[in-house]
Amino acid sequence: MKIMTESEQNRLLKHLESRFGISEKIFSKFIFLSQGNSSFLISNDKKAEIKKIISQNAETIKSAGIELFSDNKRFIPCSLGFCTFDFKDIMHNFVVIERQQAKDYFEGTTIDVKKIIDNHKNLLSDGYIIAIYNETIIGTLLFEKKQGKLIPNIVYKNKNVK
Amino acid sequence: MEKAYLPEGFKKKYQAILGKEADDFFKSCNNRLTKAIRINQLKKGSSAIDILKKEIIIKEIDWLKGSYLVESEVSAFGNSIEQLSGLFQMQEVSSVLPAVVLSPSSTDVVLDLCSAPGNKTACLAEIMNNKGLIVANDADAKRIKTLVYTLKKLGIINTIVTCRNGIDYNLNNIKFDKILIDAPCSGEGLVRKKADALRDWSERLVSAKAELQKKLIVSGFDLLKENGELVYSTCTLSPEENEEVIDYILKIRTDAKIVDIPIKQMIPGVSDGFTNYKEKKLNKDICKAIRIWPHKTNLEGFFICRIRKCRI
Repeated sequence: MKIMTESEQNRLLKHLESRFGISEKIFSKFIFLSQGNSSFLISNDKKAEIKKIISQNAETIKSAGIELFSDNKRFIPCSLGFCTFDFKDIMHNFVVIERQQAKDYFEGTTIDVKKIIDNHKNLLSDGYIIAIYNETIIGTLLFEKKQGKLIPNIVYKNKNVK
Repeated sequence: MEKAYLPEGFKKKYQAILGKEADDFFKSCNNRLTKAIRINQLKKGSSAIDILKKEIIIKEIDWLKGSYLVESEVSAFGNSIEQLSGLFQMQEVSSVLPAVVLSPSSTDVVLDLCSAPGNKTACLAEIMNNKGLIVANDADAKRIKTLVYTLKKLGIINTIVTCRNGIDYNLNNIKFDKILIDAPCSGEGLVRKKADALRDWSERLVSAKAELQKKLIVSGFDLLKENGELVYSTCTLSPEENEEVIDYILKIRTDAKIVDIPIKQMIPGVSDGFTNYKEKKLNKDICKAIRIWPHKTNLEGFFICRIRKCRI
């Protein structure tokens, strides 16, 4: 685990702004960290202590704050990390889904939702998008425009979601 | 309902400790624990309450804000969208208390020494309003995955997770304002949740856990800042793993003092820590600790003690 350089951080910020319209300002309260290809955000309230711990104990640190991207190079988002944002901070590349689709999402089922995509067509482009249910971000999906499909980007699939 | 397995040695031990009350205690071991949920205030979890109320019967605990008893079948909500979104977490009432007793502020640097699976860490983060810093440690690499998942799901942003042995824990001399040691234990308090929780119980297990707990409490105490506070808790009832561990740290660290627990007065049926055990006199201040007997509280068995590192 290490603290990201300014250029590494700026690269992610640019992507977040261009892909989702998330303002850079939102990240002013965070420290950006990286481990392998992954990036993490941690609250910067205790900056001095965090820097000391990260710099001197990198090998025993397993995680910090929330994971933002599981792959920084290809900008593959970590769904649980994106759930930390307020849905109002997302300007584009999001879909507002209904309860049944939210169930499908957590079950890891491909969501074939032409109607939803039509409702958001000006806001979506191929790649990862954010799923909002009941004014809460519940994760991210991979949008394939040609197939009209949304593929849940989740690690743990659940059965019989209620 | 499956009957709880209570080993003969266990029954004999608690017959000696509780005397006439022992039968009530053994009976309570067979009453399944009422499930509880904790609303996640960091994720506007209160918005889930109305949805939950349509599906299940829940009742808020008046002395523990944000915790609800669930009076329906667990299967009715266990895998709901709201739970998977981290709006609430299933968490027994007793296990919320150590974080509430520690009560860290939003400017504190906190260590949770035995953190997995992470529910208590999440409570600490909620109390701190996701500010300050928590170092969440667990020695068990396998359990770290669950810990990290829990923290991510609940939207905790103020936590660093480490995997080290708690008995010689040191992050380059960083000292902490508050420390939680929810120590690995023989798990006697879990019997109402899991009928075979005492399958592996023995006095030897209790002694082995007590040895580990003594090492953990010394390790934790030495990481406190002056005037810092430590909460020691277990989900077991054996005095060897509770009062005797506290008595041990008070004897070997003269700057360790037991502090009152304000919420104690509000918990119905709660008992004091023992100050005598098996003809041994223990530190009289141990009475300030919280002992949660299932038959008196209808909760999971638990022990909680708050200790301050004072200026000598």
